[in-house]
Amino acid sequence: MTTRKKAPAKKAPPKKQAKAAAKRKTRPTPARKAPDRSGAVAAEEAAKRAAEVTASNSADLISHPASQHGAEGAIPVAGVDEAIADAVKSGYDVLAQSIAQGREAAARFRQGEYNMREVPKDVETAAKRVIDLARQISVTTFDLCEEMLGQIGKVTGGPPPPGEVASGLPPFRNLEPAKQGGPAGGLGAAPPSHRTIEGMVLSVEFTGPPAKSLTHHLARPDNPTSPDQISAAPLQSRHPGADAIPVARFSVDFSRGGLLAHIDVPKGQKPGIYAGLVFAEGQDIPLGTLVIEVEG
Amino acid sequence: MGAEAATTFAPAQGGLPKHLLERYAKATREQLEFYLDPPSDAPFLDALLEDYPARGGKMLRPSICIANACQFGGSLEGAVKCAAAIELLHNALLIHDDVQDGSDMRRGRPTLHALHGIPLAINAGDALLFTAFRPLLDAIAPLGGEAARQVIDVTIAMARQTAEGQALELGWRDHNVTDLCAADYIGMALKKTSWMGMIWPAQLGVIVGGRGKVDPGRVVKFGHFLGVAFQIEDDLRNLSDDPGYGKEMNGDLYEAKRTLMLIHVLDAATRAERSRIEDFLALTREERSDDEVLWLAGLMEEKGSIEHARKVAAAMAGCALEEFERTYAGCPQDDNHAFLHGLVRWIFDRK
Repeated sequence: MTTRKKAPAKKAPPKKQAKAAAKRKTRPTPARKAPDRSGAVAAEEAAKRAAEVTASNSADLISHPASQHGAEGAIPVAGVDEAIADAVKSGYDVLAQSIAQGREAAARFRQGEYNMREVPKDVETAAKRVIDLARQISVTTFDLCEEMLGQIGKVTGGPPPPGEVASGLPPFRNLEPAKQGGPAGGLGAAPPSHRTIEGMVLSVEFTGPPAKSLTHHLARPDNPTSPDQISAAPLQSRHPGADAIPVARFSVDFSRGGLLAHIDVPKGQKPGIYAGLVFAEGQDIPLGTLVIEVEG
Repeated sequence: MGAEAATTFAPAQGGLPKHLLERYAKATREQLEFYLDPPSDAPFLDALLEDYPARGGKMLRPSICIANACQFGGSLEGAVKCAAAIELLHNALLIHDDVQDGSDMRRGRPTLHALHGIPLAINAGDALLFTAFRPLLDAIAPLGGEAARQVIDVTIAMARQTAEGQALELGWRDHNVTDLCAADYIGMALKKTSWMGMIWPAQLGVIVGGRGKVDPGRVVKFGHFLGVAFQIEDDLRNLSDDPGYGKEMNGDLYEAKRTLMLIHVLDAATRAERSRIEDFLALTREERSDDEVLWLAGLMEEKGSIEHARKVAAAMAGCALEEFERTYAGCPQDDNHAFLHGLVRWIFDRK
């Protein structure tokens, strides 16, 4: 609420005050001046809904939207059980982390396998990606399938009928050069190193008690971004009673061509692992999770 | 909207429009029959592939896909192959899950490995998994390059997330991890349940319906909270008198499954009680006695763990409702809309 201070000498009688208050036009204070990507806003809205559902102690309130829209927002967030509010926040936090990890995995995959611009009409590449999917779930029969699909580019007129495939295939596992760090093409093959190409090197400078960073790379922002447009949520520990550690600022690390985070670890900080999401301004998906260890 | 233009909203039990679910399930089953019809009967394989899909099922995941496709401009016909792929993949994973969990029953009948042995069951699961790619690739073909790329992208993401979730659940149990918090559980449920059961089907529907022009990330939040609420409610039902079709009461306790209730009771227990719980968790399934299982179930009730989980499930449902309105804002208010909205209520009302 925006209100103006008035001189105390001209204090109006209570009745007049009430009348004036009724006439006064007020404008709600803007909640923030910059985008809030912490998930707190969405969590707050969701917590209101959660309170409605919880308060009803049944699913009766969950009805068709036609009957639902009018009742929205009836219960204030203050009425939400703290543990439930925490659960809602956790719900949003774990989702954000998963999305960030997924983004990194996708970037790794793309960088390592092929140029994405070539993909759309490339059936062979699409098939390879399906095989990668299979690898994620099961290994038992897919070596053979991989072999078959690897031939798509070589066999014209579609795949041969069953039984005619084997004779036309080159020796097993000779299709591609061996991948780094594991058996060629097998489940244990390490993903090709891409981080320095697709990702961004992260260094962390600490002051205070000894600590080390367990995160060495972050995803690159989608748009041109200066260090002051990068921020991190306070680094939290999973253990109750450990205070969060703020990330003081980010700057450019010219020595390694990456990002440098500055963290002041408070004296007496509880030893352990602390983590927080890193965001770039104007981008909802986090660049990654900054994880540090405060040593005992 | 094509074939899925607005029709009269006819809520059925569980809040879902029954006729719509039946129509989508029927169309999906026809596709399953087509893709599971082999050119020849391979001994020890084809009969096993057809077993789980033939046992029925609500076809909820395929219906989520089709309803999303219709909400974003597509049709039943355009999405039904994706729906079939989802159901095939789901059944393939069920076969593997049953082996991993050592389950005896599935949909009221002995599990596939109980009937045919573990090696043949795993082989059938693998083959079913691969069979699922056929309708998926057939669905991709007419969509154009960008949509096809998106389908593969979201499928790979789902596979990774699902595998991670399953690994977490099995790893926690096998390594007897007890220092978990609610966020750990929610993260596991997101990966294990939400991605495969809710998010991926919805994403495929969005891509197919929108022909690659609608961001499939749009449905992630709704699916996430829907899946987490579903998983918590599922865990709660396991402790109830009615644990669900073909499921054993307190089966999760016998299996030492890390549920929200177990995490809560570990926190709320006294030192002596916690020590007793940890001793219980360290046993093998065969060593866990009925008495200890009943004691733990009673302690969960006494410490408010059941009530806490109920509240969190309701909170997740609240989040899902909130996200539903953001996700489907501007979409037609038809039966598909009602169906997707009704999923939140269905979590609690389902039989």
